[in-house]
Amino acid sequence: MKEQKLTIISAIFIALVAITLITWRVKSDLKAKLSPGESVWRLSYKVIINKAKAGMRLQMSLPRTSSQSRIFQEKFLRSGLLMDILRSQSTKRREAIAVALTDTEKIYFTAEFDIRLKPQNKPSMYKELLDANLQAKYLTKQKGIQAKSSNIKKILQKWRAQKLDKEKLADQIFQYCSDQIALGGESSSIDAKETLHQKIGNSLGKARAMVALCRAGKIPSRIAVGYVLEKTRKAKIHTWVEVYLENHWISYDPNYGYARQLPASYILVGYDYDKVIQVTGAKEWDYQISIEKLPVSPTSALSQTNSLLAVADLTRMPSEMQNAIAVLLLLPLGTLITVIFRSIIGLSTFGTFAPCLIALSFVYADWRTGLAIFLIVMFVGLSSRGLLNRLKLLILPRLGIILTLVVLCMVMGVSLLDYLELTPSARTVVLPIIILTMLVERFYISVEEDGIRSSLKMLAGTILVAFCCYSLLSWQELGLLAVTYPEAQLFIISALLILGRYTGYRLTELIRFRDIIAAKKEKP
Amino acid sequence: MKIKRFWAWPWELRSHEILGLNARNFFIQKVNSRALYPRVDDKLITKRICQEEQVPVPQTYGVIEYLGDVKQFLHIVENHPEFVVKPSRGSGGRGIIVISKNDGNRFETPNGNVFSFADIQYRISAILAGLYSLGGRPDKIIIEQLIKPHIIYEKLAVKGTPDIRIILCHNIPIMAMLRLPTQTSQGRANLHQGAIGVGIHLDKGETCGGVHKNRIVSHHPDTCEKIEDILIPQWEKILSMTSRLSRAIGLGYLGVDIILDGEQGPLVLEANARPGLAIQMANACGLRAKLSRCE
Repeated sequence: MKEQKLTIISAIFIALVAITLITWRVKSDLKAKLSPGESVWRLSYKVIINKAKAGMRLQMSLPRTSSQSRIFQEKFLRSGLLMDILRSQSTKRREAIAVALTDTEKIYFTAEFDIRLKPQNKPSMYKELLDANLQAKYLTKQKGIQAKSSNIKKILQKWRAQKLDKEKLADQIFQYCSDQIALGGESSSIDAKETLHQKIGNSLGKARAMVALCRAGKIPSRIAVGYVLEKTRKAKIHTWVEVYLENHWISYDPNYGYARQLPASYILVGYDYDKVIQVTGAKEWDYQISIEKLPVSPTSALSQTNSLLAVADLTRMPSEMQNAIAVLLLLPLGTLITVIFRSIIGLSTFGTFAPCLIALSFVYADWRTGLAIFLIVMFVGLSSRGLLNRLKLLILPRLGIILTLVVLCMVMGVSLLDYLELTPSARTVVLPIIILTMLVERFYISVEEDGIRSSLKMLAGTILVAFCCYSLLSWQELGLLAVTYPEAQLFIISALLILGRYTGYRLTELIRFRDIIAAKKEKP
Repeated sequence: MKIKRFWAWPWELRSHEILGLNARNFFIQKVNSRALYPRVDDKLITKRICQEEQVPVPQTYGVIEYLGDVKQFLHIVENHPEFVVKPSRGSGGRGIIVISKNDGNRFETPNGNVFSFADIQYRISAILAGLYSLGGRPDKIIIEQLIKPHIIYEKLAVKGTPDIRIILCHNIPIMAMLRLPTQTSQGRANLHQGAIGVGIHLDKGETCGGVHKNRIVSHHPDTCEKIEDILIPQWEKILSMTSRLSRAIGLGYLGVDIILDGEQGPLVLEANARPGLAIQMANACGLRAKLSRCE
């Protein structure tokens, strides 16, 4: 039994390695939570829409990641809305678009962004090469930014005489706006001309005043829109200014008096527009933005190091990617379940990993769509398989024909659902079809070879194991755990090693062979 | 009255030396080399080995390997009023055609179905294309002698021909059973398809209790004939020929299927590298101790 010992030793070794890695990760994460100056924040939008019509459209600009802040988690709660996230390559702007499919009395839409801040002493500037057209765009007048107005040009006069270079001029303008103009309440002026005239304006008014002065002084500039992460009950949108000097965008905030370097707590959403959330096609709507500081860091320490070690931290990836990874990482667990069902319980299934694959394909569909697909594929598949059997075709062309028929029925079914205005997502439909078609073939062969009873038994076994795998694969907390601790996969390897040496009875054999025991007892 | 328990405890099975599927798979992995599997999976190779070892097999009338040779069929069966057509790699009795009346271009099965040469030609090309072989691999066709079942089967056989399965470990026969087709198995002698397994006492060649659908029986469910205490003729010969065949094939754990012909006596039908475990039920006896003894 040399192999037996070797297997057990390697299983234990692998499990120990896994434990060591997990402890190391947990420890380094704990340390990470204590690192000074860092903080984790949650920015959330709550939108309430009343009397939304079908086709109601909600458009929301999303916060961006910068060198000082990183969004490590995004969550959208969107009851009954169809949602997509659009990225503009040129402006790097991200937008969530949600559309209502039916008339709805009340819609709640919530978006949550978990942001990690790491303060750095770096100037808030970044390089971008603007062509003449774009430069011109950042020099012209705009609504609320009267760059060509004579009143504004008059203010510039006093610096003209000093013959300042553009950088100095920008600094002067900033000094002027932050010192000479008072920061008023929400209701005060949001217009550059008004603000400069009354010497008071709100955050937008002050920023616009500075932009107007810069543009009048031939310095390209724009309004930056975003948030300042601080503890407030009702957060509001904040605006500041970016000035284009020598191929770099440099930030100034005349409201809070920051020049060239902004605190890490400034989160950028976009430029030159004042509505972060827009709703069209609804009678009434309202939104609320809240900012809270989270007590501990839920993210890993590894991702903060810029070294290659960060690769081991899967939680640093975008949330959509994480969901896909979670399902992949749970797949080995599914195979472990299948092995347990087969060699310990003794359930027979069609194919070794077919149940797991079926479960995988159903993860992308909700269970109702899944069940409908299952029934349609089984019905169409088995009936066409029965008809084709008379023709005695070869296995591959036969499978091809069945697949074609199944696809045709599914597509017509999807079209019918669409006609009834119940559009299912196409992605949910594609994957199960192929896997289930293979199942149809196996089921049919088994019916021919072993009879309908044992085939149904095997089908039931397959469905049972598939269901167990499905509940695992769609278990979100488990998936999160798998993403956080990828080294836990080693436990599965070690469990499979042990199972690979299991020579005991299967549970079904205890029933199968029961008569031998009974017979022996009667005879002696 | 004591209620019969629905299951047996693992230690009970162990004390009766029952071999489980997991343990069997381990044993097979240890003693059966994969490279030798074609010797049992391809009936043509098995047959050739039998002939080399002078182990009797059903007489081969001819072999068809390629689609172009289908025309030879008529030539092969010219002088044989009865014959069997079977795929070389088929399993579980699938794809076998039995012809009991041959008029030259009109072929009749024992059930009374009539095939024309075109029908036969079609079926042969289907077999060659791999319709009945596992995974659809291209196959060959064996045309061989039709067995006339031995007289002892007269009252036991339903719709098919019974055969004898012998399990050998390192060339020593360790267990044997008689497999009787039933209505439910539709003439096939595979236990999981519903045939009856009847244990055979290895020393005496006499049958003892049987098993049907994993339950112990003492009478044939279709004919109600008693299945115990039947003496298998030429038992010694059967044991020695399987032993010889096993040595030639070289697998450490082997099942050999033997059929008793009324005139020629025992003939080897096929061999199996993964014989099932129901034979333990038929003999009411476990394989485990016997395997370790052979080791």
